[in-house]
This record gives sequence, structure tokens and C-alpha cells, in this order.
Amino acid sequence: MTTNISNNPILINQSLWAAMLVTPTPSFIAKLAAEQTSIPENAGNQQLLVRPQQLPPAITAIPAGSLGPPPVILQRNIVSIDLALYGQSIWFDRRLLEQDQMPWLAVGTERLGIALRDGEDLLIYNALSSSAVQYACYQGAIIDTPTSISSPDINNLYSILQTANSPTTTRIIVGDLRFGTSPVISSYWMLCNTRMTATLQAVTNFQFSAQYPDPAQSQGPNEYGTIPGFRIWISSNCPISSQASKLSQDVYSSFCGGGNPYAEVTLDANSTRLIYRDDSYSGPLGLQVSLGSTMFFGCGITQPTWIINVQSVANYFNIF
Amino acid sequence: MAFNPAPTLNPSGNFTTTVDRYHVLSTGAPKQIPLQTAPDFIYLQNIGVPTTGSSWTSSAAGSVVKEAWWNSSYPNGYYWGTVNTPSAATDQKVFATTGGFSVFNTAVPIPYAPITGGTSITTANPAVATIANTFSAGQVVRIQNATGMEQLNGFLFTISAVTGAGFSLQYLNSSSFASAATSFSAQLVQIPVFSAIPFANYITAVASVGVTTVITLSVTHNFYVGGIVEVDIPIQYGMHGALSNQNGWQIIAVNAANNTITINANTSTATPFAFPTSTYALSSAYQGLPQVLPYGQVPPYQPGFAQSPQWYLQLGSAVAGTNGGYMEVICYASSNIVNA
Repeated sequence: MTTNISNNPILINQSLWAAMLVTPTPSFIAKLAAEQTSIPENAGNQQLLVRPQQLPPAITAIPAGSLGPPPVILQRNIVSIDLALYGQSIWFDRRLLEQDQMPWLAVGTERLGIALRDGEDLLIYNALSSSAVQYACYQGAIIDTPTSISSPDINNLYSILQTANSPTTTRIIVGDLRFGTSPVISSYWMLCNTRMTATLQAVTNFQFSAQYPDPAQSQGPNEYGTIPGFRIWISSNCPISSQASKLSQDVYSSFCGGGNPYAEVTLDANSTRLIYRDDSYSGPLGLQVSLGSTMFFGCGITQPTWIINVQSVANYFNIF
Repeated sequence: MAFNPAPTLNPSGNFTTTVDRYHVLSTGAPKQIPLQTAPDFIYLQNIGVPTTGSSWTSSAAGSVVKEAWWNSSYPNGYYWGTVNTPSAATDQKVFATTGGFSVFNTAVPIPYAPITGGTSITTANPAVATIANTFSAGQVVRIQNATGMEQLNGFLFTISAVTGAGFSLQYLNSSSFASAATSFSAQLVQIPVFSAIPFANYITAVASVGVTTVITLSVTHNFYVGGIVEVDIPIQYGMHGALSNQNGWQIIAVNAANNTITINANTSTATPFAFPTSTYALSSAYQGLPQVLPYGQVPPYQPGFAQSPQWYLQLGSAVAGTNGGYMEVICYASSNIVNA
């Protein structure tokens, strides 16, 4: 067979540019208010967190000639959190690594790391969902059980946390002479689902983080705004109970609270570990390499009266 | 039909291993099996009831699923199976989208659609709900859209005495309710179990007994003696305020049969606990459900109550087998090689 140049197909030159396709990644905000603790290596798999109990107020007047003040008993409560090991791995064909333009090991490392943090985020939500007190919004504009979130609900939540002597977590942002801004009071934190943004905007006195007198004081790109008393962060990972309202609408779990009412526990230096094994481990031909990631992780609520699982419905119409 | 041995596995997978193998005694109802890890492939063989013979006869035997497969590319609930042809002594292959296998992790609960069409919830102990369902005993359901018993909307209940036509709300004594529910929906719920401490629960009754208080919970609980709980009861239920305690209450007894915990709180002078009326539950003053929350424990430390996320296989109604029969369930996992 002879080859004639004019009969050759058009030459196809392929080039990869990985950045052309961005992999969507949720915002991992669940650990925002977590107390970070760790267990040293070879020191067991359970973290005990200790809380001394409140004593009765010292309101007893000590009469003259008394032998001494009335005795009280000091006790403590313990919250225990167990560690578990999580992880996953990828096997690569060596030919792929050595022939393909895609930087597979780098991509795999990135995806494993993100998947680990994604898992951590979901596990925290799960732990909070299982143990935090539920508050069903009941004064919102969308009539259902629960209703949508509303200003009276927000005010009530603020009072509940204040009454539980929960500390606010963000400080006052004082007013400034900038149009469209207003001062922000010291606030509790609230984690909401991204599907709630339209409903949040409709709540009385909602204020975008860009409308803070000093927008630089917003805490990261995921801080959406504030409703007086609460600074709001949003993530698509925040839990949704499908069709769980009285009228079978999706119910959103927003977590709010003050201080660090839950704790995340890891094993010292093992919150993330990347494990690479080269091809010499895979057999006589050395055909595969493996890449894995692990984390030791545990989570639990430590102050049940300082965190609330706020149940609400929202205006959202999904096209995907 | 000849016995089909272990199926051919995913050809792209190397290092294929059998990760779970179960000899399952069927109750004829959907069943959940704990797994070590997420499988890539599942094979089920329905052996049948030992005393009445194998499921593998060639006679007409209804539409029993004799064997079924699932792989991780299928959505939950799907299966590919060999099924007896109804009213005929032959078999047929089916690919079904419901009643099959579901693989889930307790960290990511499966969303179930509510079942509508409930016709009544009785005023009885326990309350009995009438609704066409595929639930099984021990599962947890959320009551929704109830009329006549609006107080129950949003509550989760462990159910018992399940038939295709209804179930009992095992831990609810509704004898004192003013009226029965005349319609409702029920949604199967997989409660989050990831908890280093017991999970929060709803209250269906509170009784003052001497200087202690006995609290009945709506979902089979995992509290334990020595644990500390916080009690949160909205004002409309009574007992509100009497059980507020900044230090929590210590559990001094649990009763698994009645699903109660006993705390060392003297509520003898408090307003008795009672569900609000339906009318109140519909009003704008209604503030939600009474709950018990884990608060910790007192020394000495009692280990063994932590639960980490767990993989489960749910055998749906089509692959649940026949009551008293045995099934072999084999789960495989493979470490797929990323190649070109």
C-alpha cells in the first residue's frame, strides 16, 4: 500500500489543561465552631472532656458562732468521644502515570485530601444532627411545620442561647460612615444550607457581609451575612431532611450556637495522612502504584445547651 | 434452573475480595445487614424454607426472587434478578428499580419519600396506625400531616406490630388524646447514629414516681445508667421548668421494654406532662416537641456506647425472601485500577 499525503486524515493534536474543568467542591464549614482536641499517639482511642458541675449560689448567711459555711459537693460531668479511622485509596496503572499527560498523582492527592475533608464535614454534621436539640421554626412566612426561618424565631433563638449563658463568638463591628452599612452586634454563629439564601435574605434586618461597616471583618468567603444576633455561614453540605415537613417539603437543619459547644478529636499528627506506595509493592512486574489517605476522627457535642439544630423550610427551586 | 455459582465480577477490577458473606434467616420483611465496607457487587441466592422445600423448584411458585445481583453503578433499590414467572413453571430475568438492594452509610441517611394515605391513628396504648406500608418492626417513622392528632406531626416513633396495613407506635399511649387521627402520612427515617454519646430523643410521657421521674421516649433509646441528660420540654406540655437543670439529670435506671429512663428529679409538685390539644398544635403559639438530650456522664466512666458510621445493606421487599427461609448474601469489593 502506498501512502499519499493528500489522503491522510487531518492530524489531531491533543493537549490537556486540567484547569479547564473545575471540580465543584462544597465549603467545609462544619468545624467552624469545633473545639479542636487531639489524643497523643499510644494514648488510647477515647477522649474524655470534663465539665465541673455548677454549685448552688452561696446565699447562706453564716451566723455568729457557726463552725463554718455549709458544705457542698463538687462533681463533674464527662463527655467521651471515640476515635475511628477513616480513609480511602486509589490504585494507578503505572503505564497511565508514565504515558498520560494528566498529572495523576497530583490530581489524586488533591482529590483524596478534599474527599477526606468532605467526609470530616459530613461526619460533624451527622454527630450534631444526632445529639443537638431541635428547634422547629414556627413563625415564618412559609406556613408548614416547621415554617421558614423568621425574625421572631431568630430573636427567640438568641434569647435561648443568652439564657443558657452561652457566649457570643464574634465581637461588635462598630458603625462607620459608609452608605448601605450598619453596625453588627456581637453574635452567635449559624451554619445554613446554600439553598436557604433566598429565604435568609427575606428575614427582617438581614445584612450581607459586604454591608458590614468593615467587610474585612467577615470571617472567610463563606460568611453570607448577618441577622442581628447571628453571623451566618453557608455550605451545600449542611444537612437536609428530604420531604420531612408536615406538608412534605424539605427540612433544613441549620446549626447555631455560641462558644465551642462541640469537639473534634483526632490522633496527634493524624488528622490527615497521605500514604504513597510505589510500584515495587504491587508484584513482579511493578504495574501498579497506590495512593491513600487516612484520618483519625471523632466528634461529639460537649455543651448541649449552647447548640441548637434549627429546623426550617425554605424557598428553593432546584433545576438540577 | 441450574445453580448459578459465584458471579463473574467487574472485569475492570483487580484485587477483588469477598468482604461480607451472610447466611440470612428471612422474616419476609425488608432487612438491614451491617457491612464492613461499601460493596461493589452483591449476589443474593434465595435458598428457601428448609421445611417446605427449596425456592428453586420448577413449579409455579408466585413471583419469588430466586437470585439477585446489584452493582455499585445501580441506584439504591434496584436489582437484577431471576424471578419465577407468575402462574407458570418457568423463570424470567427482571431488572427492577424498586424493592432491591440499598447500600448506605449511617453518616449519610437515605432520604425516603413519605407514604400518604394513612386513614387513622387510634387513641389506645399503644396507638395503632392504619396505612398501606412496606415498613418493618423496629424501624423509625416520622408522622406528618396528621389531622385529628396534629400533636404528633414531626414526632419520630419506633414502630412495632407491623403488617402491610399498618403498625403500632410502640411507645405512645394516646388513650388520653381527645380524638383519633383521621388521616396522616408516614415517612421512614434513618436516624443519625454517629454519636459518641447517645442520640437525642423525643418524649411521649413523663411520670412522677416518688422522688424520681420516669420519661418514656418515642424512639428506642441508647441512654444508659450513669449518663446525664438535659430535658427540654416546651411550656405547653407541662413539666416545663421543673426539669430545667444547668447540670443535667443523672439517669438512675433504664427500662428497655418500656423504653424509659428514670432520672433523679422530684417532679411531684409539677404540672403533669400532657400532649397539647390538636387546636393548640395548629396555633402560632405551638413551640415544637419535647426532647431529651445527652449531656455527658458522671464518673466512673462507662465505655462502650460510641457508634461510628456504619455501612448497611438493606434488602428491599422484593429480595427479602420468604418468612423462615434462608438466603446467602455475598458482597464483593474491588480496588479498581485507574488506567487509560
